Amino acid sequence: MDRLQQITLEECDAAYGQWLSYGGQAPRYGGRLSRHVKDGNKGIERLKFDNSAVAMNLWNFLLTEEERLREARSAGKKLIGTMKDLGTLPVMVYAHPGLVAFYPDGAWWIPCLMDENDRLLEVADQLGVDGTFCPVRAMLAAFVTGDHFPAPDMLICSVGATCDDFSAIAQRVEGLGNPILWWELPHRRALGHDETGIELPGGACAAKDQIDFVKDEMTRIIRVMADTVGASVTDDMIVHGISEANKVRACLAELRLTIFTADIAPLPALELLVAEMMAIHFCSDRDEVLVVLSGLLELVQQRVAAGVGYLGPDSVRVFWINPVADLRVMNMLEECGGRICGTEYLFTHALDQIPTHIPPREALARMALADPMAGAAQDRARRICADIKRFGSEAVIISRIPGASHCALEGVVIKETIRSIFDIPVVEIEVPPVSDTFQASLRTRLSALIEIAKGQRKRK
Amino acid sequence: MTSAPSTERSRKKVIYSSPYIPAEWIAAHGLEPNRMACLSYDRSLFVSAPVNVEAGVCPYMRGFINQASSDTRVQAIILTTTCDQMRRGADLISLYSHIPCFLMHVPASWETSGVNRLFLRELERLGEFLVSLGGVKPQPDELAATMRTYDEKRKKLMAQQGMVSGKDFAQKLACFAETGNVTDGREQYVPGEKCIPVGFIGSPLTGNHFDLFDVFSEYGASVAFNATETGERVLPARFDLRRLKDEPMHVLAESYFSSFPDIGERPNNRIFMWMKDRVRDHHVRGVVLIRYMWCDKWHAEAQRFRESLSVPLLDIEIDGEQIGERTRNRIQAFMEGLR
Ligand code: SF4
Ligand code: SF4
Repeated sequence: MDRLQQITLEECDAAYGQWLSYGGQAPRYGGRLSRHVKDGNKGIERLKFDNSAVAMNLWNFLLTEEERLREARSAGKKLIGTMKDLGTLPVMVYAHPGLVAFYPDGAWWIPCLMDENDRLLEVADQLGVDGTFCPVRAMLAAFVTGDHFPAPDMLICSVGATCDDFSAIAQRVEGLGNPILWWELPHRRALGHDETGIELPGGACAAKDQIDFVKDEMTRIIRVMADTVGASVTDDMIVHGISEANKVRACLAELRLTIFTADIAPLPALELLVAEMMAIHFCSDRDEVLVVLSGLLELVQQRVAAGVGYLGPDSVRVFWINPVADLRVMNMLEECGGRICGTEYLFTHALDQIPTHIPPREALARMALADPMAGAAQDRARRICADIKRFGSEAVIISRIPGASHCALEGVVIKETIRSIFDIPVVEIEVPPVSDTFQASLRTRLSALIEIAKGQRKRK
Repeated sequence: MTSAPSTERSRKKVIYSSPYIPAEWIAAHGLEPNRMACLSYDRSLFVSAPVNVEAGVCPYMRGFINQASSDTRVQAIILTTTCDQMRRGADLISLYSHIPCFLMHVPASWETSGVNRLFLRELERLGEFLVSLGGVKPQPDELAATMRTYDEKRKKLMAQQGMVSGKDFAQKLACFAETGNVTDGREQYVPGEKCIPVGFIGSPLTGNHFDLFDVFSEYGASVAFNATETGERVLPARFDLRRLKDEPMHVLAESYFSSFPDIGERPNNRIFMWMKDRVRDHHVRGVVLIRYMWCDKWHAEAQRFRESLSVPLLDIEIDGEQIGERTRNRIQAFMEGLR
């Protein structure tokens, strides 16, 4: 059995050079990762990476999104900032060849990637949006500085069953002179006694009238988009868009399943998080994202077949809930002897297949309502528990997002539900965008979790 | 978790906190609406639960669900989706309490006919819930009659604005929200000549927070308007009496859904325009934003209020029940600045 080691940025550069010298074909966004440090992404100097060329493609693809958006604009495409729904509207936007969707929400990670050199959090503070808000406050600052993404041609944001942080911050974005098309995502309500619900991708149920309502909202968005940017999205286009999105989702589903069920972890937690994030809006290139993810899947399958991976078969199988604002903490998991076997990063609905047997706007409405954040925390907890069982997770990390309006209370419900079903350790941690001062205590908590899980393994 | 209710009347108490819930809709079902104003700020998250979470939890939400779920006279709790904290509060109630809880979706957007219909549909669902509690679905004329009664009471209440002190009026509003009763005005209130008029805006005022009126008065202010979430800002518009007979539900939905400006609506520019008008009409010289810790909706807009209003803004963050010494000092300094 070969054990892989994560490598530093410097080692990545060396490995990349060697790969090229052996005839490796770099994609157009390829290159040494260290070049992104020069562009300001200083935070990546502190990360450890998977040692493969395809993982470097993944990183290069992630870190060149801004360039892609600018290229798209130069090519005459309209940029649509889709906010908050995480995964649904981009399917509709990409359905039109003249449109590109992106998530301004992605500014969440900028302070970490740039090691706070961008001073976005400071700018947000000055705007009165301080550390009692979730790290998405960096988005507000990014709109003000205008340094991180081109100004979108149109902004669309879901409201209703969304978090307070985002709703409040998006409103501030609009208050600064960036008009937003608000669309309503109702709270996915419990069904009435004699009401038949419709099962959504992911297993939750929604009332038919709510699906119809969201479908009408989709229709309204299409209409306003046509008026605002002059691009009419037809149902036929959406059908094609759904089919393309489903290819990406299928690839990710296969990737996750292969990783979670492998004897030895074939990919580090960090790269899997980055790969999952691609489902949200395809990192601004729906065709290329499939190339990147397929490459990753192929690599993972080869590693599994060869019995190659990180740590050994005794590493603890951890289920991770919520994304972390400081990506270094994902590296810490392996350093403490854990591996990822199950994830719920707030956008599981973006990983599910979009139904193709129903009219396309209804399919998107169902996807929007399947958002884990749109319903009760109990629904979210149920899905998490089903996956814990499916993947045999031995420990759970609930990573609280500092300031997030939902985390404190959702964490209680999720933890209680897991504990009522499984006899596995659950730990709650809180990870700020730059976690330097918390590194030692985070490490202690993760190590303790792994130890407890190993102890329980022996007792079983 | 509740013990046996003592009287038939108390058994029918339906508790809620949101101004979007029409008291007359509950009353028309034969149940007792109670927009609870007085809260206990118990530090534990939930009276009956083995959890104690403070960071990230709005003390108002915590106080509301604590008190509502531990009051033995409560038959049901209604929450709204107007903020994420309340949505999650509903999750907790269903996890830890046996009191039936209804979570009503109040649309955040307000500019389309679709969301108006959605609100109406949510009111109908609320009606179904009230029937499940033993309430009786009212006939349209019964609903219209109840609406007329409440409309008259609100008219009587509003007639007292400016006739009684800001604190008295705020307490009258709270009393009406809680009991449906309108108390008569006392002798006419005339603010001292040297009093500096200020206006309140922000989160609901509860219990000891009414002392804020006294603190401001101590430092020479009179509160000219109360645009907090328990103040006159959130009263529904008067009902369209001509349409009441034929379509009372529509009239009810319209008055409650879109008639008052709210910080959480999207877009929320109405509340900024509304505030500008109030500041001008009441000649106030300062505005006081009162908000709870962890309440993102008000917190995020503090700076925008500061920038958009023509008068200074004092931003007060309250963490619980008491008005602390630091807050008193800030009020004093603010008032000195307005002199
Ligand atoms: S992390 Fe949570 S609070 Fe922050 S934007 Fe996302 S869902 Fe909202
Ligand atoms: S004060 Fe703010 S956070 Fe608290 S319940 Fe009200 S709107 Fe929600």
